[in-house]
Amino acid sequence: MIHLPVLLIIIPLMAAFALPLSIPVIRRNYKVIIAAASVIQFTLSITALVMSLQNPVQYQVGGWPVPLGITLMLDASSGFMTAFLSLLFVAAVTYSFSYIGRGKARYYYVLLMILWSSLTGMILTSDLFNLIVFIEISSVAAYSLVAYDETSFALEATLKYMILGTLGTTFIIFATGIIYSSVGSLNITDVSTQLHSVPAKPLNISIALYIAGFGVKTALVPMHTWLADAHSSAPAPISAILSGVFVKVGVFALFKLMYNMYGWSMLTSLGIDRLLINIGAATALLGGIMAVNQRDIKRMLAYSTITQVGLIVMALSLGTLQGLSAGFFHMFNHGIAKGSLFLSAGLMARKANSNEIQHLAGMGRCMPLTFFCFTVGALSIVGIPLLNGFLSKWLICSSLVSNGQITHVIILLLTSIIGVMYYLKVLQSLALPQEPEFNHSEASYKMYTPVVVLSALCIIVGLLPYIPLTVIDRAAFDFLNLNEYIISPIGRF
Amino acid sequence: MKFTLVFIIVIMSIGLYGVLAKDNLIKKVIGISIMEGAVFLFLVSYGYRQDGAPPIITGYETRIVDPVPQALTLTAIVIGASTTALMLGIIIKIFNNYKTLETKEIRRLRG
Amino acid sequence: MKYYCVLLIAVLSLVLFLSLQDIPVAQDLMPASSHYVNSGVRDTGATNLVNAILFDYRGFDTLGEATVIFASAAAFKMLFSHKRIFSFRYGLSPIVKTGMGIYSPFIFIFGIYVIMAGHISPGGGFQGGVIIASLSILLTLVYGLWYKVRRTVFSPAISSNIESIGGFLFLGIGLTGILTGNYFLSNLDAGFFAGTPGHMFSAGSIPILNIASGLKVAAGLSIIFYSIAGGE
Repeated sequence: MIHLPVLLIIIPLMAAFALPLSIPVIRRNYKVIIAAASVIQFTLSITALVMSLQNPVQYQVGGWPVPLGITLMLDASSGFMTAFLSLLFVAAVTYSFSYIGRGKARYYYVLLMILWSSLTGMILTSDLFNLIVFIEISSVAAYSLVAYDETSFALEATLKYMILGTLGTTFIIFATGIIYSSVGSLNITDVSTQLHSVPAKPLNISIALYIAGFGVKTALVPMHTWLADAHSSAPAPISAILSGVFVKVGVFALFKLMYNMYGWSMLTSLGIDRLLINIGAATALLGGIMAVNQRDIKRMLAYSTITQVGLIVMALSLGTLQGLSAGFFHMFNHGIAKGSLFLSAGLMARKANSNEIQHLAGMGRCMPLTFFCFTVGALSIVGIPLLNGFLSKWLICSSLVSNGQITHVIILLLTSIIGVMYYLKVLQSLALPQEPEFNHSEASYKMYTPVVVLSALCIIVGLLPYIPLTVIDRAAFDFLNLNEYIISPIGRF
Repeated sequence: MKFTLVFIIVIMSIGLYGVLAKDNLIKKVIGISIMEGAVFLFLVSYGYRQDGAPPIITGYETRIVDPVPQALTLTAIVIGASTTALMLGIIIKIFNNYKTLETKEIRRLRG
Repeated sequence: MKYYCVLLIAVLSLVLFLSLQDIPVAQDLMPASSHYVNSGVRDTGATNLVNAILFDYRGFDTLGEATVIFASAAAFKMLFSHKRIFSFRYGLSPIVKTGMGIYSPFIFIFGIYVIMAGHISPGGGFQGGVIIASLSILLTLVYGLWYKVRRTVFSPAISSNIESIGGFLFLGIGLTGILTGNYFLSNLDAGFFAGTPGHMFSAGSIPILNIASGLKVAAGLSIIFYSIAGGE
């Protein structure tokens, strides 16, 4: 099954292309097509993960060898991220079946499938320009999905996101242009063998442009202003995907370039690792501080995402295997927990017809199962023991300590304490005794099933972390040594 | 080549100034288009070889310019045009809501 | 505020200029590009090297680019789904209508020529698709929106179907590569008709991919315009 990397990208695209057709069978039953495509993609992702743990698969699109064609690389880290992506997307698609009303829902699913396919492409590709193309596809899909509700808040948030996002992509294209003009090849491994002959100044500029460009996509500190608006005005499943996966894929792509193309020794000699870890710390602190006085629940969750992404960047920029494992594990845990949080917040906000925390008072008592899932997600992000968030934060702490970054450990503990403050405020407000006229019923089983599954995963991974941790350790190992897995002849012709 | 680089940086600065400092939304979109144009110019101009012919094999050339940046730029132009179209569409919807295009008036776009 | 922007931009430009001067200006082609130039015609059968790179060596990027247009058109259909008719209901004056009636077949044939001869001369799927899309926009402007709705060739419902058909054609060619035992989007390896380079029917699957992406771009851009102009 060597064609697996391409199939992972093609199958959601086929579903997306099939939806706008005017055949009556498809017009009435588009949900069946979407459900079938999601199930197939999910099984293929799990198969890909299992296959990639045994040995990595390298795929040359079109059959052209390395410097000429595009390479798709399915190793343990890509397989892990693809499986994680598919899990959250299946949850979001199942949730969307009942959450998104009729009318323009067909194009919602088209854009959702395109988003899925392009995020998978971003993870799997090993080619600089192909990465840019997939970033653009996923950005266009994300911009339009944020604007789905068409309220004026959503439109302004989309516009701000679009302008900043296009600036970021322009910087990334510029950096790719610098790399291509100096080296002559676009494959990540091929470039990494040639970078020693490039003069230093253009290389530094390209690193700075890549960090600026990817920083916009992943909301690192000076470029984070779009995330609060965009994630709070998007529909709930889209917020879950954007917060849970989209920013993580951006971080993954940035660090794949940093580790594999430039090489960590070059970055350490330039001081980029200090820069990245400080950016991560600043992002974490800023997210925590801004989250405290938010009145809107989704905005608070969005700032919490900024905090956790800062922690992930701190962990990934240490350069050690331990740091990488901690970073990947926190990506996974935060993704599941934030997904469950956004989906359950969406359920409660829809019943209460408002997004503000004070209007949601007492909803917890009306909808006990949803409130339980929300609590599990919130406690996981805060870092309560027995849940998965505690384990990943502990791993980040220990990898920071073994690298001697004591100030950053203090920053991590500070963010956790601030997190306790704003999450407990929400939990307390939700658990108040209900007003007499406030008698909402529990959500339908179709909507709370994905939420329950995600929260259950939080608890399971928290209690039995052995299997995820072995997968993630293998993923981190492959991530560091990606260049050694490219099998085709890399030579100059 | 230095003259080309100065030109590219001037165009990029004009575009960046347009995005950051202008208040009208359409001018911001124009600024982004100009910036993208500067980047494409950078890509293509560093693919030029001295006395090179366009990359179409007719059997009469001796030197051919680099075809790869041209292919990359074609793709990037189309992508940039689609994104610009989407931005303009969103601006049309904002205009329907607010009847104005200045960022000072539109609440959340300030800063 | 504007002065801070100018200052920031001046500093950035200076930094960029001083650093980017050092990029080595190459005299000969880079190794990958020299392979494209030397063996491009033999590997793919197309004499237009840019088209060969776009649709054969790096065909996956082209699939992504076509998907961006598809996503953009889908976004427009999603956002502008309310029917409202704007000012150009009835079209322009009869002089313009007559002139357009003379010009439009030539524009159409020129667009089709640019698409189909993409592997021989400059052009290709995207350029030709844009020409046909601009023809569609011109027809809407000149003849009015009601013309667009009633005629069958350029109507919006047909455009959505054409876009999906273009997408499936692209994916179908790619999957043919898989089904014959090669990789995705294989060209001559998968047994497509190679022919003599320089003739119209040559270069394997590249003309078919040109047509697919041309259909997709034309339909996508015309859907975008029709959605903004007040369609359904």
